[in-house]
Parts: sequence; C-alpha cells; structure tokens
Amino acid sequence: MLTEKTMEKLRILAESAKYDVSCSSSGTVRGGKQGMVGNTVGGVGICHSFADDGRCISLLKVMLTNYCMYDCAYCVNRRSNDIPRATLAVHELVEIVMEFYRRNYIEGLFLSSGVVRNPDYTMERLVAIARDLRTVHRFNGYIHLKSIPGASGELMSEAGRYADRMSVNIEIPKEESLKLLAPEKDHQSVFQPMQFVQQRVLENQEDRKRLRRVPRFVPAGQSTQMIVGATADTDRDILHMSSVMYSQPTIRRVYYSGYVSVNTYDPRLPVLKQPPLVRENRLYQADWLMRFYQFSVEEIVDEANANLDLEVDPKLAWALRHPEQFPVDINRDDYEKILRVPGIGVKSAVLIVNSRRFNRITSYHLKKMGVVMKKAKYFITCHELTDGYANPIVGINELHPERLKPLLVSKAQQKKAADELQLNLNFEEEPC
Amino acid sequence: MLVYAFDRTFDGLLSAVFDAYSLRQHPDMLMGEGEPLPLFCEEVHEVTTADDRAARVWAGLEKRLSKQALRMLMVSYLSELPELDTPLFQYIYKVFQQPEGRTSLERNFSDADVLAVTNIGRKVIHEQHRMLQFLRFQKAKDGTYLGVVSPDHNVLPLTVAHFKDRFRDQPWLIYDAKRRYGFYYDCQEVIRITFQHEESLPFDLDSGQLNDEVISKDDKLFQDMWRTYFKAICIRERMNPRKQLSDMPRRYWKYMTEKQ
Ligand code: SF4
Repeated sequence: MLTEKTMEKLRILAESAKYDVSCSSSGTVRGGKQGMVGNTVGGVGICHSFADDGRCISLLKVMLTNYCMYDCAYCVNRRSNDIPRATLAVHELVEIVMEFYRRNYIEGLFLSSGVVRNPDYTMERLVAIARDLRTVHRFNGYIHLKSIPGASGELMSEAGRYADRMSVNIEIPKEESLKLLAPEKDHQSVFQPMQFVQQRVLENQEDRKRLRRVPRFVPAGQSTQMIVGATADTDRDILHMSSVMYSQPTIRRVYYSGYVSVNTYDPRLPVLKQPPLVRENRLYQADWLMRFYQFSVEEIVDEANANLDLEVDPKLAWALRHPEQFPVDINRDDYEKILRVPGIGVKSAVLIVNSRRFNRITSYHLKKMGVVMKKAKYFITCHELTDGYANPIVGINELHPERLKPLLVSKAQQKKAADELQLNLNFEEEPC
Repeated sequence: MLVYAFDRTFDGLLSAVFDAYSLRQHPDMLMGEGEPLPLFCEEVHEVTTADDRAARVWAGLEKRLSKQALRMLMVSYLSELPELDTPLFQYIYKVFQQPEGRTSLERNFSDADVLAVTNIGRKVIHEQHRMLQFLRFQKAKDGTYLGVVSPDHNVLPLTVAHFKDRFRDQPWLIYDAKRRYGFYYDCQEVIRITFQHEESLPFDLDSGQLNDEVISKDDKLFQDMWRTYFKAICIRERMNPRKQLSDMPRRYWKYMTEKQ
C-alpha cells in the first residue's frame, strides 16, 4: 500500500529526470498477450498528455535515485548540488507503473538513475525493476532503460531482454568540451555500452532468423541525447555526431535538449536566461531532413554556415542557398525533388505524385492538398501564367534569394531569432 | 437542382446510390430528411433505406475499392458531419461509373469529392487517436475501470479493439457522454451498452468521476500521484501553453485526471 511519502519521492525523482528529453514510446509493435497486461502500438507511440511546457508525456519518466557519485557540470543531480534526494524502492515504483498503466496515464516506464556505489550496483537495481514488471506483473507495455556506462555485460544482457529501448546520452558532441564539463567522463564511456547493445541486437536478429522463438532483444533500438548550448560546439558539430549515430543500425533517435541553466554558479557554464529553444527546434528540423528528406549533413550545415539560420527553417535555408535547383515542375519532377520544395511536406508530396497521373496539378489542387503556397509558390512551376490571384508568377530566380528571404520571415520569427542570438552573445563573452 | 433526402444512416446513403442508378438520375445533393431545402431545389426524392439494396451497393464497392479505401468510407461516415453527405455520395456514385477492373479513383486526390472524404476521414482517425491518448480510467470497488469521453465525432467504436488488446485482463467500461452509449468489456467480450435511467449512472456525466460509494479506496491516491507527476515533469523555464493547447485541445480536458 503506497502513501503520501511515495508521492513525495515521485515528485523529487520526476523533477530530477525531466531534463532528459527523450520520451517516446516508439519503435515496437507488440500485440497484447493472454495473461499479460499491455501492448505497444509502434509508429510514433502514444502521447498521453502534454505538460504545461508543451512536451509530450508518454512514459513515466523517473529516476530510481537522484543520488549520484559523479559531478557533471550540466546536471541538476551532480553530487555537489544541494537538492532534495530520494530513492524509490523496487516495489514502490513497480506498483506506480502498473497502477498508472491500468488507468491509461502512460505507455510504460522510462527509467534512469544516478550512479550510486558503482555501475553494476546501479544497473542491477534498474534491471530488478524491469524484471519484476515483466515476470511478476506480466507487464507487456513499453520499457526504456538507461545503460549505465561500466556495467557488466551480464547485467546489460539481462536488461536488454526486458527493455524495448535502451539509451545512453552523448550529451556533449565534442570530446574536449565534454572533458571540460565532466572530467570523469569521455566519449568512449558512452560508445562502449552503445556498441555492446548494438552487437547483441544484431546477433539477436540473426538468431531470430533461424529460430523464431528466440525472445527479442531491445526491439525498439537505442536513442541518445545531446545538450544544446551548454558549450561552444556548433550545430555542425552536433549534426555530424547525429549523422554518425544514424549510420549505426540500432540508433533510432537522437534528441536535442536546449540547455536549461540549472547550475548557474559554475563558471564553466553559460548563464542563459532562457534555454535556446529556437536553436533546439532548428536542430530537430535538420534531424528530420536527414531522416526523412534524404538530406546529408553537409547540405544542411557546412564550413561557411556552421550554425543553422535561426530565422528560417533549414529546408528553406537550403533552398535559398540553391536557387539553381528551382523552379521544380510539380507535374514532371521526381518525388525527391518535390520533397525539397519549401512548403511541401511528405504527405502532400505523396498526394501530388499519386494524383498527377490523372490530372494536371494546378495551384488550386496544391492548396487543397495542404501545400503551404505562401512559401512554395516561389519555388515551383505548374505551368500557369498567374498564381491564382491574377498576379504573375515570380520565383526565387527572378526575385533573388536576398530579396525573397524577408518576404518569408515574419516579424515575430525575426524577433524570436534576434532575442535568442542575444542570449548566445552573452554566452560567448563567458569564460569557457 | 435535384436533391435526395435520406435518413442520414450509412445504409440510407448506400440506398440513395442504389436509387440513383435504378432511376437513372444523378442528384446534385444529398441531405438529411426534414432539413430546409436549398433555394434552387426543383425536385426532391425521398430515399427509403433498405438493407438489401445497401448490401448490394456495398458488395459492389468491395469489388471496386481497396480495403483501405473501404475503411476510409466507413470512418468518414463516423464524423457525423452533414457536409460529408454529398461528397461521400458522389464519391460512391463515381466509383460505379469507372470502367470495370479499374480502382484508380480512390487515389485521385485532385477529385474534390475523394479529397473531401479523405480529409474528413483523417479528422476522424485523428480524434480516434486522441481517445487512445486522453481517455482516463478510474477504478471502481468491483474492479471495473471506467473511462468517460465526449468526442466530436462518433469514434468510440474505433477504439474498442485497442483497449481490448491492451487491457485484456481488466474489466472496463468506456462511455461516450455526448452520445449516451458505451462499450463494456468483462474480460471475455465487448458489448455495446446504454443506461435506461440516467439517475442510476454510477458516475457523474459532467466530470466523469465515479460516485464516492463505488470508487475504489486507493483511486484518489493514484489520481493525486498522477497530478503530482504531471506538475513535476514540467520545465518551468520552457512554459509553452500554446503548444500544450494545440496538442491537447481544451475540449478534452474535462475528463482528464491531470486537468481536474
Ligand atoms: S552521472 Fe548522470 S546523474 Fe550523475 S551527475 Fe552525471 S549526468 Fe548527472
């Protein structure tokens, strides 16, 4: 029987876990089973709620304990911080998960932990929770476990039998920046558990080809996170790391977490009044382009443009840098080219190539199919003389990118970008 | 202008298609019985809903449309939107005009009727997903879990399979407070239910809360815990009520534990 005391622990440990942004319950489709509770729906998963900060709540995201023996500068839970500390007992957390799940509050559990005593001790406790949920409570919902760097192969293997997804955060894209903020860590300590899980997932896939009854190992793959704006690393540094990650067969998602100034007293860190949310959003858009729009990193950020333009999204920014690629002919050009038009998303691009076999597509159709014509009209042709409002069609090549850009950026966007740039300027004056 | 009036059932709509072909007519518009007629209406035909005729039309559709397209027709109908009637009718009418063996119309989204039906169908599917997201259960003393919703569209039937698969070892009742019916699952099968006397409902229709006599002892504690968690997980430096509202519109908050 749980009490108010457990509730207070839950509060403390949720507060400690909230800066890890990964929340999704994606990647596994597993139907319900006789005698078990729960299923997983695959696709993008289900968000059960949205917090007041607008972020999706899908899994119960919580730490088993927020005591930690490390002192990473960017983390609220670092040992030198004076914050309320708590530890949930295995039975407490298991009961909360089951009761929340049965009420349709959550898709499952996302469990992480501070490191106490040693990596094995910590990992063993995480595994105990997952083991209890799966074997005693017959829980068939989603489980995401953190890999604790340095934990034994045996524990990691057991974790992977229960978990849908495992993750370990890179946090800082450049090794020297990481060393500065977390001297006890290095990239190797992150890559090692990642590699281990990857190896086991690939072996498991082979085994399952021969023998269907072999249970799955981390079927939803791995994810990782990078903090944005805690160091001077550029978007190019970040996205190159992402691209390396996506070249790994088991890394499904890279998350970006705008740095929230939690430890303002530490001179190694910038003091930000606001987390860099515009930049974070642009990084997600760039990530999206790499995963679904067949863009390479160097097309998005290069030496001359090492940081993303905060005023316009990276797809539009690319288009403005490449007027020679336009106009795209809606009725003739390939799907891949149509997908690169600002204002046309995957959904409308599919509608276009499906429908143009029957009719010639006009701007009237495009609008109906959800194309953002305000943007797209400068980059396409459907062989019409006017744009539907009896204005002659003027494209990117007639206007030139530098005159077109201001037409596509609202005052509000400009201001937001300028405000955030201001924050970054403050940051660059910081000693670091 | 030729108008067909029907009873707004799905079988009624299919019967209208049957009539149009047997009378060799092509009505311009379909509307619910008793609704005020448009200004330029010259002729009204009253459709009689007939199961056998509807079945014949449906069988014809099954030969000419893919499974997904058929599902989209059903799903769009659950929208209950009056503006669906005419495009859905025209879409089905046109399916039978295509030459045999061609199933292309369903993918021609430059056809205004196909696009309208598809867009409305998507709206319904979107709201179905929202029910899977936002429905909240409370536990009654007898072990039954109750979830009350009031969706814009009639999507409850589309959610049953999901809840049955997921919560197969717990009895539950999901109830549409707007349309006054629900589905009850007893760990064996799902049945559609209505309550004859609203005074005897074990819960409050406005809040969806189980009455004090029937709610299980620890349910309030878990509700409080969930609210506590909901507050704790928010990063105050990132407050974004606009995004919260667009992903979780206020009209769904009424029955959501964390917003009560
Ligand atoms: S090891 Fe993890 S919990 Fe501990 S201080 Fe570093 S980031 Fe925070």
